Amino acid sequence: MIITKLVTGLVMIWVVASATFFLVLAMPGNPAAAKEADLINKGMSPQNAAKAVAAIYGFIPKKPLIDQYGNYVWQLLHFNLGQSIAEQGTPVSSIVASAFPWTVILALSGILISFLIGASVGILAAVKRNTRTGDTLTLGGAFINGIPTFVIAILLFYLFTTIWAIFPQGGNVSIVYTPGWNAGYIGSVISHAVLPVIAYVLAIVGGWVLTAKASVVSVLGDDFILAAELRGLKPTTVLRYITRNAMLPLFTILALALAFLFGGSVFIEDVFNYPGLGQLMINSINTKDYPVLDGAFLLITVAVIVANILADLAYPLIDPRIRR
Amino acid sequence: MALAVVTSASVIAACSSGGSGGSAGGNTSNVTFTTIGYTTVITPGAPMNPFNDTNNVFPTFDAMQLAWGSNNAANPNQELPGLASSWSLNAAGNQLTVHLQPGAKWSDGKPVTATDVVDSAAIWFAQGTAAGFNLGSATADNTSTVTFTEVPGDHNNLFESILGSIGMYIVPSFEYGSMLPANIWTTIKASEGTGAAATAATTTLTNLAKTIDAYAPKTDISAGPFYIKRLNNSQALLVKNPDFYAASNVHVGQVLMEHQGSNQAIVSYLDAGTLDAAPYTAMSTNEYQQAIAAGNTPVKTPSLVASAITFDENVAPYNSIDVRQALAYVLNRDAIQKIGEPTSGTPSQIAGAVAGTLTDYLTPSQESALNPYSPDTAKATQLLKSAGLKLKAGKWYLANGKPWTITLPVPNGFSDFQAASSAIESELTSFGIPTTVTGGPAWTEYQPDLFAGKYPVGWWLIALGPGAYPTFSRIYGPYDGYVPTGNTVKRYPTGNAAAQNFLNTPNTVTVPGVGTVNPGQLTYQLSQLNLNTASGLAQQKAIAAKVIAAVNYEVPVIQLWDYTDVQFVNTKRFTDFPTSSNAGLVDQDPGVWMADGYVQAKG
Repeated sequence: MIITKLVTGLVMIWVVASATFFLVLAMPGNPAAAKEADLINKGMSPQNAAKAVAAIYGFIPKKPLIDQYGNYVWQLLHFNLGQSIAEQGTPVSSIVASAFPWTVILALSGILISFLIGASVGILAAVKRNTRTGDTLTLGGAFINGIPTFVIAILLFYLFTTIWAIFPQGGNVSIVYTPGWNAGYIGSVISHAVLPVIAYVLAIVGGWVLTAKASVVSVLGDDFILAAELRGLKPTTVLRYITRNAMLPLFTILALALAFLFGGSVFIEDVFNYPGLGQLMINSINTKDYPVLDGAFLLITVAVIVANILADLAYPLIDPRIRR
Repeated sequence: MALAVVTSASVIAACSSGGSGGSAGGNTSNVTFTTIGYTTVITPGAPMNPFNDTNNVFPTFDAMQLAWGSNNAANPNQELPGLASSWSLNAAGNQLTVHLQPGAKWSDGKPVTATDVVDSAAIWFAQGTAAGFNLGSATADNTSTVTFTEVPGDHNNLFESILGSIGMYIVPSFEYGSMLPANIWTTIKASEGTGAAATAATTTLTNLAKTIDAYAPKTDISAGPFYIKRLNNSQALLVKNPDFYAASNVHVGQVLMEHQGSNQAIVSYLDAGTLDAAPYTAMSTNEYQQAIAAGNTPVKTPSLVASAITFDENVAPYNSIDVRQALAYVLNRDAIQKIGEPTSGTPSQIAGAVAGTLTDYLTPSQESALNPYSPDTAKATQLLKSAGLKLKAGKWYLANGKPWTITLPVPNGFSDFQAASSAIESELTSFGIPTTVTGGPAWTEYQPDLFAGKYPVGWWLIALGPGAYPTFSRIYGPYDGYVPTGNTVKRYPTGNAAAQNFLNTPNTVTVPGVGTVNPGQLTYQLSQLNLNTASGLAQQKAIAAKVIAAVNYEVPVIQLWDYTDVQFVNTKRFTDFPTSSNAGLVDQDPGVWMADGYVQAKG
């Protein structure tokens, strides 16, 4: 079973990597033209800009597409993502690796916090489903779920960095502190992450509320709950039964939510100028840095596929019925 | 412009004198000066190497050049001193002797030498930037004097501006010199020839450029007023360089450089009042007023760039002077500027140069003789009819009977062009020329499309100073097919890779009151004058006056608005900023201000 899942995962990675490769190449423009325009905009004459670009980008391979693809796959098999075009001489792997942890910090914090809050509120909304509290929680969940991620991010940024300058205006840490395990640096990392994490949480917490409520409501109608209540089990025990059974669909969605969060990083990191994978992808698109764009896409793809495989493997542990 | 615009300025300073300080002496403050990369966008992972394509160094703060700026509209050779204290050009205008600042040192205490400059010049060649200035060689005369020599048989009066043009950085030879082969100057010379030897030499230089580009210094060795102490993915902390040649002028101890993610990010910083100085940023009237309300003070200076609507004269009816003049009469430039660029623009004269520089080239009577093309639909109607176009039921028809429609593509990201296009669409359509505004590709893709003749009518940036030749060559230069080659100029048609001809103006034009002129040839002549002599400047004035008259008469483009460079400073924490009256200096990055003794902490 594990081998099958791993092979399936590898095939999925290959398909996505190939699709990404061709999609990225199909993008209009090229890095040389982007750089030339950039130099002209910075004040260089068109002639000088053209000469500078010819020197910088003269090495860009102009091989047939199939050769480029073959080389890409071959290098990929050797875990070589190539070199950045925008940052000459810098391996893509090091650029992507430096951005990845920052996105993981935000995405994992966001997914865990939103899951805890959303599931708790959802359960409460289900249990109190025929009361004003239940209706309010459901309505609130639906409302938050309907707000686009970028709107949430912009609103948070504007309110808490500009109108009320409580949090820093972007970045991942203040340069004033010496990097290391010192209170100033760690505090700065946390303060820079607060708003992006809240944006992540708000982006998906509404979904958790609604899903958890629906799941709990469906479990509440099951015979075993009725039987438990008739047997006079303590309410906390009944709630444990409800929660454990209701969490099963949520666990499946948890793994899928990771993909959503990585996708959302493009908007959130852009608004908060947070140097993770999302911002890296935007910068790569702007500079037509195809190798970095490929690398970032690939890493996200791998992360999501691995998360799904792990979820698949963990599912039998949570739901013993699957093992039968 | 939504994207960064080329900001330029008029200048001050004679080349041989040091920067004039606001108030030299005094203590260095511990208050951190917060600003944002004027020309550098902090790029995660990029090296502190000014020659890297996406570097993390900050010109005027730590990355130094021999000179700065040169935004004098009429004479780009007037520059602000940097690592060069003075320089002189020989009478023939082909040899430039540069003297380094006495006592100039790197931040590790080693002296800045002529060898550093010569090796840096070799890197300019490898990177392809030197050739653009016709630089042939650089030699060290002694430890503090360098002579630059122009390529034999080739000339351009922008040669001297190599000292202060963006990108001509000086780096320490003890760091970069080991990457240069011993025969580097022989290779450079060979690359300027022809045949297999030249190809091999060019390949060597290209590979060298890649090596230089990839170099990532572990620490920032700076000859500027500051050096980078720390750098992360979105900020840089620079501290004062005690070994800077004018360290006593610098009153700021620490500079925090924020990431310049987008114009919107800069606007947010301004609204929060966290920046002590901010570069030109395109913004709406509302954002501009909010920035002022947050305690920021705008500093406005002329910017040597203008927006324009262009025409491909290979396409009818734009090959008719009457038609282009008529369109100039139809478009209300005052109204279009107010919609397109309300905070940092002024309505243009149709002259090919920004209005603030016309006095450099024209006598008062010549300036008053320019046709202002005030909105006049009756005059436009008359001109179109005389060009053979017909008006039926409120719509204009071409001479061949087909309806006349205009499609105006807007390069993606240019919010000012987009807003202005709506006004243009409305005005032209009301006049009987159904006009459609389309979303064009990003500027990087828009330009090749334009050069390929894809857009009979389009947007373009013109009057890109400083200097008369760069200014007018945006119309009568490569974009009209005229490319300087050796001691002459050649003209290429649309589609030839040697030029980017999308204007296709006629070779000559007979301008009332001036006579028959060849604007392309005249513009080329502007590049050949010796601007260090009174006669050269007088010749420039006479030639430019003819070019301006040609632009004004034949209307190869409709110049809409001239940009104004609007920076912001915040006087809550610091004072003694240069003002608009410090023409030139104020348009340089703050590192130059500080090196010249400006900017002090309050209290």
